[in-house]
Amino acid sequence: MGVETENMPMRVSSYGKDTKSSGKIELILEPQGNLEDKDLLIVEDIVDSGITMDFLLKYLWAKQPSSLKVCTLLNKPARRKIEVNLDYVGFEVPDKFLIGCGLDYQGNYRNLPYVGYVETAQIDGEKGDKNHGKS
Amino acid sequence: MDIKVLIGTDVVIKKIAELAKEITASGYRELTTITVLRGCAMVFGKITKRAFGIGC
Repeated sequence: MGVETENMPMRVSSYGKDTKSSGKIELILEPQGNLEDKDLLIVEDIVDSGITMDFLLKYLWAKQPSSLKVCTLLNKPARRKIEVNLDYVGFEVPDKFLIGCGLDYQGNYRNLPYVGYVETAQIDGEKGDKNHGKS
Repeated sequence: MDIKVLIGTDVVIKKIAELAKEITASGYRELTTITVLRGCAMVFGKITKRAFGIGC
């Protein structure tokens, strides 16, 4: 396509294995390399509360890129706590507990090729919160 | 667990192709993608493979 690309992975932890968000983001792996004056594109699986994305945007803008845009496969606006601008969105999804296409439940089901959901009543021992365990 | 399908595989694949096309049409000459491990790396791989020929 004629677009030179470079990928920089990051790792953050918002709520580990628990399904309840702590609202606090911990940066575990910083992007390696200089981001100044670069065109950046965050590629996410889902944006729900917006807390993680807000953290990422503030962190990355501080690196003084030339541009910074967001692509997410799934957008769950019903869960939004912080408004964030999303440039490329695949699907708006309802407030259900989603799995597949990278989304997990306690580390499982990420590899499902479709987006599925389970009723929260099925989630043993949990309180019915519909967040995802970002880990 | 009883897993119900919300968005089927074919629809996901088609949408990823559309996103990839939209991104490449944005006029980037160089692009640095940021992925937040682990889940979105799978999404990244599918999008970037279609858009740029790299990924999984």
